[in-house]
Amino acid sequence: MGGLNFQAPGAFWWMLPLGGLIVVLYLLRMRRKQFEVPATFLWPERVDEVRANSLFQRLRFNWLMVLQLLALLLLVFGLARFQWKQTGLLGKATVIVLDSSASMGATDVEPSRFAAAVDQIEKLIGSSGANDQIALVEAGTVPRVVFSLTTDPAVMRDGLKSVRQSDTPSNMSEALQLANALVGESESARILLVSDGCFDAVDDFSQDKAELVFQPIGESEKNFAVQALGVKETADGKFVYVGVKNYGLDTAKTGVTLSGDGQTFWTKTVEIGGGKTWGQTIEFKGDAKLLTCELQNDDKLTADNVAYASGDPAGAINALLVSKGNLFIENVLTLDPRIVLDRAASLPATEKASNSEPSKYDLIIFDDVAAEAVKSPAVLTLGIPGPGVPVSDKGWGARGVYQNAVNHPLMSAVDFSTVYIEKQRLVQPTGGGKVLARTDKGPLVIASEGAQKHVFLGFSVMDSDFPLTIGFPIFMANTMDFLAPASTTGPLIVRSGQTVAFPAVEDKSLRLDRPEGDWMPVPARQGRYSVRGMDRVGQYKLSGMEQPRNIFAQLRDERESNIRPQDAVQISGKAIASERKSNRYGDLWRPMLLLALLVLAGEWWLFARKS
Amino acid sequence: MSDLILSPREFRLLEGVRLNPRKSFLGRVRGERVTKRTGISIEFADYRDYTEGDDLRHLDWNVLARLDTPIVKTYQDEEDLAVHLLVDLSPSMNFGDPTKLDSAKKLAASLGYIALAAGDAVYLRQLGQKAVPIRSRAGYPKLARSINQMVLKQNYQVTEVLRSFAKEQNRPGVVVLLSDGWDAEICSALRLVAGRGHEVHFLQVLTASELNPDMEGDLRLVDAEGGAPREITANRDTLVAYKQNVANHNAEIAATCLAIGARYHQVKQDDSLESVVKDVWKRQGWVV
Repeated sequence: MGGLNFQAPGAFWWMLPLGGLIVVLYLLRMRRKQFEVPATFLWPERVDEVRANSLFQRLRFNWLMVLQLLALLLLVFGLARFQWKQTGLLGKATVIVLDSSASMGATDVEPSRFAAAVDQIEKLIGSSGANDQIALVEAGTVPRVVFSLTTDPAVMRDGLKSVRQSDTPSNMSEALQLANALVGESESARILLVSDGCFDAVDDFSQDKAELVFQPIGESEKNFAVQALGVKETADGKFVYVGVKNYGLDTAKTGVTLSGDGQTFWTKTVEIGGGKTWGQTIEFKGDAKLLTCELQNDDKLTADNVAYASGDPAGAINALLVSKGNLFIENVLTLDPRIVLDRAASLPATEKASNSEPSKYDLIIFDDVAAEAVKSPAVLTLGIPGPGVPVSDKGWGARGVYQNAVNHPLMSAVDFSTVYIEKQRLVQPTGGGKVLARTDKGPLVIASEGAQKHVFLGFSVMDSDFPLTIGFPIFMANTMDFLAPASTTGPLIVRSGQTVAFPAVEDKSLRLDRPEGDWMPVPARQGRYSVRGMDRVGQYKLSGMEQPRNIFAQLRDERESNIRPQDAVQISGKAIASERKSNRYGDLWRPMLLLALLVLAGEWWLFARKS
Repeated sequence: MSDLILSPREFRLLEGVRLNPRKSFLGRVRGERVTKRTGISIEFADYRDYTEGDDLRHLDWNVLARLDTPIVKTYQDEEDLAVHLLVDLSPSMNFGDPTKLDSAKKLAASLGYIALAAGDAVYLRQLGQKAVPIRSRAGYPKLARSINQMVLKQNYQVTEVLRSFAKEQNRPGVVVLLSDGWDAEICSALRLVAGRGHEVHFLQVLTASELNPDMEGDLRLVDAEGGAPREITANRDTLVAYKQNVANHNAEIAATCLAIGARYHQVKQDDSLESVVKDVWKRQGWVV
């Protein structure tokens, strides 16, 4: 009986009094009229009691009673909201969340995971009932409602044709929230997640009454990815570092080719164990502006087989934001075209000072997280100092009164006098630390130069209204210039799906040529160009400016490169196991009531016949 | 009902006809009906050799003259016919308007008159009573009086009367049975009577409401003849089943009558005597 369910089983209590009443009515005996006939032996033994008016008799089998009890049973089943587990997409309201992230481009399922998922959804639409409402949410970097809840298969199919897979990570949390908002409080609704499960655990999804079903896609984890690529300038010269990871379970070979401005200068075939990373540092003598690393292999995901880096060590800033989450900082950093931003909740072990490998990042930003000693050449600490930060820490203190700031490029156009700061870190500079701004409680901004550049801000930005002031983006831009000055004319390297902004001097549109051969206009809005739509890996060209810019989009996302299909996904701390067959409890109260009416009609017909 | 039961018009209707049994029966007294016995009549039967003592009036003189051999002509004898009238006096005959009993009495009187007019001996059979033959047209008032005196009897069963009649050493003849036939044992009783050499003429007298009852609702049926009561719901299914039972019962009677060489017909209690005489008796050869 695992396939049965009742949403309101309390309704079965009605069965006792009503069923008992029907049976009692049939216990009443008929008072019959006497009628004399010449002979009774020709009359059949036929007693069909349809009414009673006297007490009492032995209960006898009666079809009318059976039909009435059956009608009552069906009625009670209907009131109890009888449900039956069914296979297929027959939900009253179903929101399909289609993962369109980079990992869905894997070709372990012919022709690709994404195409197979679309095909699967099309079949589900085909098998849906006339009253089944279906909505589709495309879970890309920015989730999109492809079509809202509808029962029209034409709308569904048209919408399905418009979905496309991108080489970007998915924002599954927002996609699920969006799906949840679409189904609302509907009781028999479901959210059907069609994905390979290659996304980070979703912690901030509050599920309503809708059932969440995970339908997995994918079969293989065979994949290589360029994990690290960059140029370091040391006293011994310029070096290229490259790292490749084998995400498969078995040892496999891959070709690695490095080229500068399109000219191959190094190539090698390497064998990498399952789950292992290979890395090498190569001397780089050229002055190429763009460094490209390409992998040659037969893995299942091609989007991460190419990576770009600026040939000029100052050409781009690879930054790591270590934070519990700060949208203000993320927005400022991602809009800066120089910055290739990674996010982490805690410092990766590979970036700690104790690790011998070279750092992947030009800059590490600790936001309201205790700073640690790192290998990167520049560190920005917001709030809590730690080892390596050139300050002595005395803990949190009360809010102070702004006193002054020194004349320094970092403080250009930044005014802390109007900023409300809830609490201030009580620190004193050590080593080469220089106080750039202070309150009566002590230094507010400290900067130091040397082998490792440091900037320390003596409060947490979330404990102030600093992010709401114009000084915040200026301060962050000044900090980037101070810590990791980058070229503004060379090729721009971004993450696929990333939005970058440029200042607009004229009110005219730019043209963005995409790697697929098409192009899109980039209009000027509020004095700047926001370049979106770079969701495929490859070269983009932004023209219309004084100097055209080449933009190279790369995946560089470990979670997307790890294409091992997941049997379960973690949603709000709960493991949602995969369900190959899309099952649901179909609400059957309407058919039950209809059936009860039919039985009652049959009972009436029988009653009329017997009367 | 008048003393004579029949009206003058009905008497005229019955004039000139006589019962037409399929079989010949031995008579007791000389009558107008040819019997199996050879005797004196104008009906030629056969030739045989002359033996001493034969009536010389029956010698065929033509044959004697031509062949010189004495040959005697024989003739069928003519005797009376025993007609046993049995009227069902069970309570079930008290249905209809007129009642089935009144109708049966009239039919019995009619057939009795026909038999008396033809010189047959009429026996009015009643349970527990010795029947005295009534002969000649002059005996009709006596017959009518006896019929008039017949009344319904409780615990009367027509099959019991038939069996009792069959057991008695009654003179074989035509047994005219006037009954509604509402007895499950009627067929076996008819066979018993036929087995004693009688020819049964069975007129089943029924009412329209018995053939096509008009009733509805939940009823407790009480048997007029004291049978077990039966509770029914008089709906379409029940009435269809009842009609089927009646049809089966009557079909069984008809088949039995056919098997034993009896005449059988069903009449309604309100059918006129004229229609019975013309449409049944004359048309089907009950009378000639």
